[in-house]
Amino acid sequence: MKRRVVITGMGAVTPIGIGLINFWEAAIQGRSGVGEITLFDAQNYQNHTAAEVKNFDPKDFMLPEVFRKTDRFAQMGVAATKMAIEDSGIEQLIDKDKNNIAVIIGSGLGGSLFHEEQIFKLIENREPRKVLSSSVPRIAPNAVSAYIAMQYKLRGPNLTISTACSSGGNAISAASRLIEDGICDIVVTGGAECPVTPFTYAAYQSLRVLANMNGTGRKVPRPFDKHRDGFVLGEAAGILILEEYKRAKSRGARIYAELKGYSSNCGAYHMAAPDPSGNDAADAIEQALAMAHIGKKDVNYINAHGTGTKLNDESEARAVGKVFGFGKAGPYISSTKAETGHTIGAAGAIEAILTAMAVKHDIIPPTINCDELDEQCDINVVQNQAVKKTVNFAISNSFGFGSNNSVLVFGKCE
Amino acid sequence: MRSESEIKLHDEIFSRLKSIIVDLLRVSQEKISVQIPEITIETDLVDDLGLDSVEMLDLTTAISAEFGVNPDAGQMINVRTIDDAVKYILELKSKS
Repeated sequence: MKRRVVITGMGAVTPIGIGLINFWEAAIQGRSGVGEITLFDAQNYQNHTAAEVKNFDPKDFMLPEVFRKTDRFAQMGVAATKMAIEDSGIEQLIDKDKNNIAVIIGSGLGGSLFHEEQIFKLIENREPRKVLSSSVPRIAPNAVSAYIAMQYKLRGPNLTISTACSSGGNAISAASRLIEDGICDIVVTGGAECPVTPFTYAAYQSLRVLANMNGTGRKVPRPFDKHRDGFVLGEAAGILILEEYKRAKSRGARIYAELKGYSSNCGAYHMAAPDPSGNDAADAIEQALAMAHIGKKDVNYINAHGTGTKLNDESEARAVGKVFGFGKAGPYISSTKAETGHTIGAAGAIEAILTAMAVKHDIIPPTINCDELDEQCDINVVQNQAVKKTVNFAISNSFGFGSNNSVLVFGKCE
Repeated sequence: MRSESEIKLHDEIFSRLKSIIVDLLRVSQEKISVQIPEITIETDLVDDLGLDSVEMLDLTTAISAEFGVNPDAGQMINVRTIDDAVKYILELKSKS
């Protein structure tokens, strides 16, 4: 008999709020985290917008001995973990000398900020000896998983998943598997990314995927909207505590939702563009539903990948329509990237958090800025205002660069 | 008994060393308020400032750049306090 996996704690550091409740309330109220870039001087850049986390002070969450040794992405990961662990109430249960609690975090890019600073310095002074000794520990993508484990003395498997925009989703499904297979009872999982840095931002700009509505007065990003033209780069960390169901029940844990199923596949199509047919994404959705043993009619809400690019939104709409039916026939769907921006490796995680909250509270967050639905995206988009509706089952899509698809299925926990 | 010039040199090195360490303790380029601990001549790098082995390497590099000397990583293991560090820098400078 397969072991069941539930979510007993969540923590988030996002452009629309720090803390689970702040994040959730902002999401259902349709608040935008997008603004002018402040994290670096973007004067010479074509695009000037990003979704930055406001007022994040790592010293609120960890000691200087930790935060001064870590890049911003790891600081956010540790901060979100602190909130998630407190939310779950598991800290008192951890035997710091002997436990098998795993940590699996998604991050597409690792410590970009510090990496770029050291490179710029090296180019400027041409002195390799002056490259800081702490560079490698700060830049390594697994710094976030490692520092989380060190902070709480978590001694089980410690992994970092890097599959671009689906890193967070894939981290969560890998974490679930550890519990289902009986290897662990508790896993700390999620994603962390801080890509709003000079080179990384320029790289996305050069890929021509960033929204650029300069002078039009239109707010960005605009998932599924007729006038959308790209995504807004954002930063965030989202952490979920996954626990084996019987164990969680027996200790009286508060359960947000059950992770009923998931899938992970590859469309084998292109590094940056999605397969326009949407077939691979449709397969991923069907596989996840099959694992969860639920029918298409049972799904009440889809949290879309919905980046706001022409290509993604169209192919995702095609995939969703194929599986659930087009127009109003299908379940409600929204893209919360309209509010948070595209947080790359953290996206799958913060969106899983919102999807689980939708299941818990029966409220569906809106897709803000979706003023005129594109006819090519003929699906049941929740535009601009949240919807109150019973959500028994919901799915969260993450379709990453490299045709990398991750779908998670959440359900109410009986 | 140290001469006036020796005391002056000692103080100058202490001041510059303190500045390097404050930079090291600050988080990369971020503009956040960090409470820098008070640094005196008796401050212990490990017990008071929490420097680990990698940060000691960073400190070694910074000392080399600031004072134009070549600290030996092996000798730096014996440097525990700010006073130890100042004395070692003076020693290296006298040899160079």
